[in-house]
Amino acid sequence: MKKKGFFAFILIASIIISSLAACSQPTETPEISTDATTVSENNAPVFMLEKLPDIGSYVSDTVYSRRYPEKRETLTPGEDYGKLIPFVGTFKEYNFVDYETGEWEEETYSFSKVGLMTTQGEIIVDAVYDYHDTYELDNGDYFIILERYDDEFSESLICNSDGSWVINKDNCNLYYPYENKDEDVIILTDFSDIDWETETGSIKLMVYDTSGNLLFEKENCSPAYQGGYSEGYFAVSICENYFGDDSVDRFIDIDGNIAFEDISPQSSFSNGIAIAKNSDGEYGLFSVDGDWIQKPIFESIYQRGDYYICSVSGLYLIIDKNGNTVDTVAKSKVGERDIEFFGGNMYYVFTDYSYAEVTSFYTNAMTDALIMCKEINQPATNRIYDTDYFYCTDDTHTFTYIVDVDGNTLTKLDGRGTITIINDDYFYYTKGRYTDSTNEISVYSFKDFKKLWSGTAKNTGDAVTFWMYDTYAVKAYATEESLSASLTPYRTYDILSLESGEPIVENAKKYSFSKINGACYLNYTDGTYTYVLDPELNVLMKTPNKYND
Amino acid sequence: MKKILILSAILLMMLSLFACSGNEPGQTETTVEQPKPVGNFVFTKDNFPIVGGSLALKPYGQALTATILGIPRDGAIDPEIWEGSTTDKYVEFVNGEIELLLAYEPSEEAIKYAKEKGFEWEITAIGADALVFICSNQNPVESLTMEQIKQIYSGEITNWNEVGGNDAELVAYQRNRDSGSHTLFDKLIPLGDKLIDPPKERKVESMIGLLEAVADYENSENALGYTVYYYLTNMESDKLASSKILAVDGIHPTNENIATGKYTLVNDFYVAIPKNLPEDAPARILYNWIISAQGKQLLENENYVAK
Repeated sequence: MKKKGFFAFILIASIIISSLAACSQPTETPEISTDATTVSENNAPVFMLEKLPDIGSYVSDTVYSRRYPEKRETLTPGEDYGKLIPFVGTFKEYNFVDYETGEWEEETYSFSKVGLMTTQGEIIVDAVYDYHDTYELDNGDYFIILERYDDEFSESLICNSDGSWVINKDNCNLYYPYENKDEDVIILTDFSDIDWETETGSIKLMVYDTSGNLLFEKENCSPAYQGGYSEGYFAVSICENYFGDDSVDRFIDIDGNIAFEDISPQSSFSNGIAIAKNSDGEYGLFSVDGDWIQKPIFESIYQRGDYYICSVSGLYLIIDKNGNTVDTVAKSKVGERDIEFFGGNMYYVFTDYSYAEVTSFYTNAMTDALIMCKEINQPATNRIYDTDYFYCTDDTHTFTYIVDVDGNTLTKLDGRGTITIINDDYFYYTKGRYTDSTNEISVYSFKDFKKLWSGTAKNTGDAVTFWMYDTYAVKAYATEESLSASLTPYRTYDILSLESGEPIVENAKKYSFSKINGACYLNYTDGTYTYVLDPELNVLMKTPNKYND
Repeated sequence: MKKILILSAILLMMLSLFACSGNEPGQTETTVEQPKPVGNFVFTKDNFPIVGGSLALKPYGQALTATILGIPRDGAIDPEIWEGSTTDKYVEFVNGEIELLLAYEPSEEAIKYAKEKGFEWEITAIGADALVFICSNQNPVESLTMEQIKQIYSGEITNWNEVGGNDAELVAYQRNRDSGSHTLFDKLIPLGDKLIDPPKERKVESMIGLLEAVADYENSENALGYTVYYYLTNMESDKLASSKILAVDGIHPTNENIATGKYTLVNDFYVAIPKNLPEDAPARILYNWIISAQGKQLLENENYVAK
């Protein structure tokens, strides 16, 4: 019995040892034949699978269509394109830590390549440009600019939304005015004459209408301020040497001629009025008819909506667009108050910079009619940008209240956070970004003050951000892995539905949106492929990406 | 006691065998339910060879990687390594940038390059594909003879009405010389110096470019082009909405006709590794698997014609 047990032990031990030896990495590789017929599931000496797994079917990784078989780097105007959109064909971005300024600074260099496609996804101009932007016109249409650069040269392609006209220019910048423009024009500044090494040369101003026709060009001239072509005039700076200090600001007319001698524009015309200075440097309000409607006696003037806040001798004069003084406020009375106008209402804003930067809002400067939340009897401390709504928190920051100008509560939100307006319908509320150390933020999406959904982004790296675009919400975060691999955290993005908060794309490396006539096209890369999705999330383009970080 | 010992032994054996079966946690992303490997080698992302080659074999390369590593197809491969001409891929293989090559027949340039570098490869035919001729589906022509194809590409036939079509210029596109498609064309339709040198705009540098020239564009109605069957019918089948494959000598290319050789314009494609790799080198182990019955089964699953 003992003998049998001993043999059994030896047998078992040898089986175990041999089976363990069989699964160790090969020290002596058994001979195998390269003859296909000798290797099978039954006699695989090295590697074989029990059976093939189900991996699904192949899906082509190049989904797109083209108008032309050959590569196109420019746009042929006038063909029947329908609407055109810019798209990123290759996302590529590098992060460096630079020491150029004397301090280590993180710099991001984008080498993404941009082209043009139709809204059906047909590629018209290949992705060879370095930059793109889209400008909406007052009539709801838009135009597109593509630019590409090398060390000494830049090239711009500007076209309207349907590609019916194209402007191709070298060494130009597009200047697009946002304020006081009552007629859309396209303004280019031509830097071809500039020698950056010798610091000589001047800029040429070129002005086109929205049909791509050149209205005029003027040497030694560049746009001044944010005003564009408004009520027949441009505010421009005139100088023979771009690097000199002899420039003067003047209005010029549509033919490029100086319009009002010795009048120095400080804004463009709006409602027939522009802020201007006389030759003594005093501010006044200047009429498009060529007269001062408020004589140049002021120390400063700034515009708020349809009103002008004019400062003189310890007073603020509030003057409407007809030149009538609607209020006069002594500076000594109001201190460092700003005055804002929104939705036809006038608000006086007081920021106490000496203590915690507390901001208070009043409906009347003289009576100190503070805007209060009636529900908690607390003053409003913030205004939701571009609206007539305000918000405040209770003493313990348990809730944030959104109130109207009369102090009525519109909605009550958990905790303390910030509110950002997306458009007329949506806003979102961000909690936790600044107020706690959990390294996560919560976002609540609202439409008409009713909560749609909420989400939380917990960071595992150094960055949590969560913001929203007109059509999508974007959640960004960095990972620990990337942090250990690079000085720059490797951020990825989740793109969510604004309406539901459901993810549309997860772990995108880069993304961009093209919003055209209210429809949003999503362009992103997962690192391996680049995609363009139409507003219904159909894939217009899928191509291998050259992303490298 | 004996029963206990035997049961213990069986249990220990099962445990030890289970422990050494592949796919240990953390070794690979096992989001695809992968059958256990048989044998004593486990592929991981770290030891998996760099696989690349001809564009038309990319689906197989993707399936191979996903199958062996047990990962999803999407993202299994770097698509960039499948871009470029077949000759480019042989050059990368010779230079060591690709460790296991899946490719169509090497061009003379590729063979010359390998010889110059003193590089020898071990190569096995694993499947077959066909050279196919395509034109717009608006074109009434359905078939060409071999003789007509030779006359077209030697410039003797320049109008579709000479092959039974409309009175229209016959716009014959060609691929660049270092492409796998052109190597196939040269081998199967040897015209030598008689091959016309087309204008630049009729010489297309990519497979997709040629399909687009024939299928997608205005004025493509008169175009004739060639490509490989698998690429067109499996990878760019949407192009067949506006184009069609011509029969040659009355025979349409199908997987069956390619396998039997009834469609005559066929040629093999290959797997290759550097010669004299050790038996335990991952590239050789994978090479052996590709040429095994299981490798052939995967090839057929991907709709290729396996050898």
